[in-house]
Amino acid sequence: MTRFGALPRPSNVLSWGPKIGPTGSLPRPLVPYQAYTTKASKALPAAQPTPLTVYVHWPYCESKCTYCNFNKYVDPHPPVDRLADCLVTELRTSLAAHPGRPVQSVYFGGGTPSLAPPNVIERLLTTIATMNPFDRSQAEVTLEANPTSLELGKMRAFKHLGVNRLSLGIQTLDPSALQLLGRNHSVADALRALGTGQKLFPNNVTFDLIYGRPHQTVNQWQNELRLALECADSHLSLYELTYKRGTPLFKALESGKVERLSDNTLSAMYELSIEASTRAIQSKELCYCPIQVCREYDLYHYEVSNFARCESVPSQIFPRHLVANDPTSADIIRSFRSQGYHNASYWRGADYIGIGPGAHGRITDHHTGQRLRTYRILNPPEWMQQCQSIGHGLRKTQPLTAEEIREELLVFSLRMKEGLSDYRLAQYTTGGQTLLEWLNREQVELFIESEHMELVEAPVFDQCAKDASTAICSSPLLSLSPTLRPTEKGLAVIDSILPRLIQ
Amino acid sequence: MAQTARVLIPPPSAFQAVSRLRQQQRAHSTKKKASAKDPLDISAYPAEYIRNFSIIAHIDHGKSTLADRLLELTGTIDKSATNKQVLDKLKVERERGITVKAQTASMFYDYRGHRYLLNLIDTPGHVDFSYEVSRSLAACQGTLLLVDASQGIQAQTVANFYLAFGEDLTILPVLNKIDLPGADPAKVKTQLQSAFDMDPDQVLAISAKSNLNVDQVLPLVIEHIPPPTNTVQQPLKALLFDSWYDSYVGVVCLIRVVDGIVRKGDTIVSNHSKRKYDIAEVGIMYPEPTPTTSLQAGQVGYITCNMKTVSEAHVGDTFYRLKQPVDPLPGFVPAKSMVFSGIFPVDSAEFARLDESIEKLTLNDASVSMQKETSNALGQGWRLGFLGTLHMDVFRQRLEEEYDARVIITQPTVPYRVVYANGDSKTVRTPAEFPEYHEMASTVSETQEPMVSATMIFPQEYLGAMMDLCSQHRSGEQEHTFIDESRVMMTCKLPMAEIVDDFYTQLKSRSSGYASFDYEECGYIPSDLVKLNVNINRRPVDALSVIVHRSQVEFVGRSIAQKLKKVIKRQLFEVAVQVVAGSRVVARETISATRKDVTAKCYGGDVTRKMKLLHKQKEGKKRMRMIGNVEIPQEAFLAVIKK
Repeated sequence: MTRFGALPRPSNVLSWGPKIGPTGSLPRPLVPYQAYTTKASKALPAAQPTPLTVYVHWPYCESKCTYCNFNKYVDPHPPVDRLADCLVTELRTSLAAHPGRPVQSVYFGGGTPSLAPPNVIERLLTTIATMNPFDRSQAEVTLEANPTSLELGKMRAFKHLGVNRLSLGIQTLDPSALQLLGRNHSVADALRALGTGQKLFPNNVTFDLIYGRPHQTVNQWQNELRLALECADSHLSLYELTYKRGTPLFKALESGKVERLSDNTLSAMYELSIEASTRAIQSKELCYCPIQVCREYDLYHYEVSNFARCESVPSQIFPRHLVANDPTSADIIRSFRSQGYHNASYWRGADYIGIGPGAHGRITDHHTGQRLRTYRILNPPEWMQQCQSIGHGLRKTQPLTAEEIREELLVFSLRMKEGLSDYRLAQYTTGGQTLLEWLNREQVELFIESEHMELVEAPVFDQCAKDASTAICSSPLLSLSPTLRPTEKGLAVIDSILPRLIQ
Repeated sequence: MAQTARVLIPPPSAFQAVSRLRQQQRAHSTKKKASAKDPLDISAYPAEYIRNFSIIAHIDHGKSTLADRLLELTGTIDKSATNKQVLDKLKVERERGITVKAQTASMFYDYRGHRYLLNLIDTPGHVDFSYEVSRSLAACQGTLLLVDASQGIQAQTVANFYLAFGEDLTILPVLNKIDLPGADPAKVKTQLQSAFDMDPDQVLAISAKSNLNVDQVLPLVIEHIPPPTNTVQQPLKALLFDSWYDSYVGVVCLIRVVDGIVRKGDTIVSNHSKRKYDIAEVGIMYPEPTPTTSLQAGQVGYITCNMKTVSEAHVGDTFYRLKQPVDPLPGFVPAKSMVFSGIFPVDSAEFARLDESIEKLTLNDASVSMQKETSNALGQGWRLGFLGTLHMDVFRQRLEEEYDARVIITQPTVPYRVVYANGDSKTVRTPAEFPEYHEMASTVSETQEPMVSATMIFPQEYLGAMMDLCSQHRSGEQEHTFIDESRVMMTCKLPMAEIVDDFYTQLKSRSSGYASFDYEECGYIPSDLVKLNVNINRRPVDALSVIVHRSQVEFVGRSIAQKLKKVIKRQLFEVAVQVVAGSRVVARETISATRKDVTAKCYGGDVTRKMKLLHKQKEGKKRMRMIGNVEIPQEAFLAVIKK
């Protein structure tokens, strides 16, 4: 405990509750759930070292996708061994600065990390296990992969070495769009990969689709979406195409070779993605009803572009009146396990270490209590050279001010239906300011009135393990905290809301 | 006389060294520090070795580039990249390529065994500033009429030609940019011949950019522009033609010495105010202020004389030596405010700072009139009077750039007059002062608007278009005459309110830029005026109110509503825009709520970009005005102004 004494810890959560609506002008929170007590201090022991997640960037790809502006390089013969050595070195250096902090999740992203030899994954996982507490049976280990046969062939090996979650970059199920996006596989490959993935990683497969492509129609997207929903495993990411500077698609847009779809079409596609696809057409009036999505495909829209499968949760932690009083929290709990731990921990403001060329990190220095943003050298040869000479490829470390931390928490938390609680705000900042004390209160009230936002006493998920139901079962004293969260309507326009909330 | 020139003027290289040194010291400190050095003695330049000239040109025809070349050629400035467009000292001038304040620079040039003192006096190039043009020209004996060899004669060429012609100046035609692919010097020479009766053989063809034939410009100036006809022996008579405020030495006056001589220590009297001033320094613009021992008949330079405010420096004033009064020079008709606009800080907390900035800026621009004003939508601000809409826009830009101020400017209003039933009358400079609908019926007997008498010159093929234009702007009876076989001069009376808006822009576009336009005030006439108010989500926005003629209510109302619909971005809530006359809704537009505004992808690596965006949005909010829930961009107030 003493070693981590300097870390900002939440103070007494209980004391936050009554502060809500001191002037009485805000709606009172929903009736507190009888199933929970608010004995927060018991539910959230303060003595445990703060968990971490690790992101590993594999910068090489087989081919170039037209929409991707990540730090990636097409190299048929990448210096695999040297890169692996350097990743291990950098991981070691980074973890050494945070001894004792359990690693809850490891994410291999890229680039195309599934192109890496399986032994690289193994070396990295072993390094983590030797440096820090790392429960391989509980920790989430995700690998991004492309649906090509070569990569599929290695899946069993990856699984054997500890990967337990698969993220497939499918991007489109429309054969005519594959070329536009620069994908080097077929739709059949994608569906085959999805099948194989589901067999190997049941209930732990996610895949990405991109909509809003040039020439795409709402009808086409509806068909593609239906197919996707039929095939979906536990999780789905549906991204609107973003034309990013430096990508071939951006250049095509600039030169007029492709055209951006109209705002109305893109809005319809976004709304359709949220709706159960069949219903959207039946009722002309588009109503936001995530519960219906859950009912039809049991997927809950928990983040702007992310959907997680709902599961049944034991009734002792999921009482009937909760569903009635706070269906949002009920859905979050039901979909919690499927959401995956890793990405949600970014949005929840947790610490993560980024390893590899161009990787970003956000980590609290336990000596100083200072939160830092870290940036690695982008160019792989330069990054490797620095790793070999000084043990890491860090390019820049930027200390975050209290206000930066708060704003980042707000921006990321409000991308989730879960929202931002006073508890979480206190967890990462000092000074004891509540949301209402910090934010523009007049605007908050306005957004509540207009049903863009809700301010409620909601369960705190920050300290939950990846399996919410286990966590809730094992510690039924899950605490409540005043929470500001976007409604479905608010989430669709959250970028317009955010600058108004900040004073 | 010629032999005295040998020692008194150091060689150009010595000047360069001094000049460079002074540039390092920068303009403010130059004057005091330079007095430690020996001031230049230019008394050896009698009028016959002096030429005062200007360059007049349509915008973008290369005036500033040519000025730079001449300054380089004479060693007045270095041929370095940092000396671009020396005369255009204001940032806004460099950006817009227009000259707002007249500047001047002196050069020394050896020609046929003599060293000449050449004074280049810059002129602004827009109708709003014609007051500045005429005062610049009043200090010259000749001018270079610079014409782009591919664009040919343009409206401002004509306007400037006639201004110079009216001042009896020698006009030397010069074609510029003759090395550009589109250049057609022969055609433009023909134009010059037919329009201005200029001999095509005497037109100099140059390219200032590539320095082609630029060396022939100054010989042309010396040979053709007459020297000033003045005598040193007469008592001092000097024309004050420009001034500016310098925080170090106070007001700096640019003068043209018509007769006599003026030295440091002399006591002079302003004919306008009869105030006495002791001269602290005399000098020439070289191109920075450079002290000299004297300024004498025919010479142009600056004086400082412990003048505290620019308002004391009455442009057009005549200075004479104490106890030696002279007949004053004709001077200028003072600039009158034609357009009144409200100026408000975007952030009302910045009022005090903005107050200070506006005060500083008006110190150097006596043509801006000013009084305080309060708006319910925009808070405390000022009502400022300008020479025209470009003048107003330039003022705003200077406030924003030189003083980092963020301002909202409201719809310009001309000075209307309201006559009450009891015989009282008042001048209305803002829609807020205009009687509300219910008052109109009971207490007002008449409303009046100011008129101008307008003159336009254009090629005959545009006659129909120009007649239409004036009729659409509520002109009175139109008259036209042919001033040669191809060009027409048209005169008519127009409401002043019609020309402060887009009249000039339309005149240019409908005449392919060939029409030139000038106007003068000609009193008030009775006019049926109506005040239009704008409501946004049922809240009135007083800063968007306008006064219009009854015949324009529907058209202007609809146009305001449509323009607001365009500039008010979709918001999180539906926005209703109404334009009302009294209680009647004239026009209505609805802006539907934002359907979607959310970043699709946002993970760990996107933090920096996302946070930058948020801060940009937050900054953007500062440029917004909240009317209830509705964010009104600053552009909304400008958009209503523009047509």
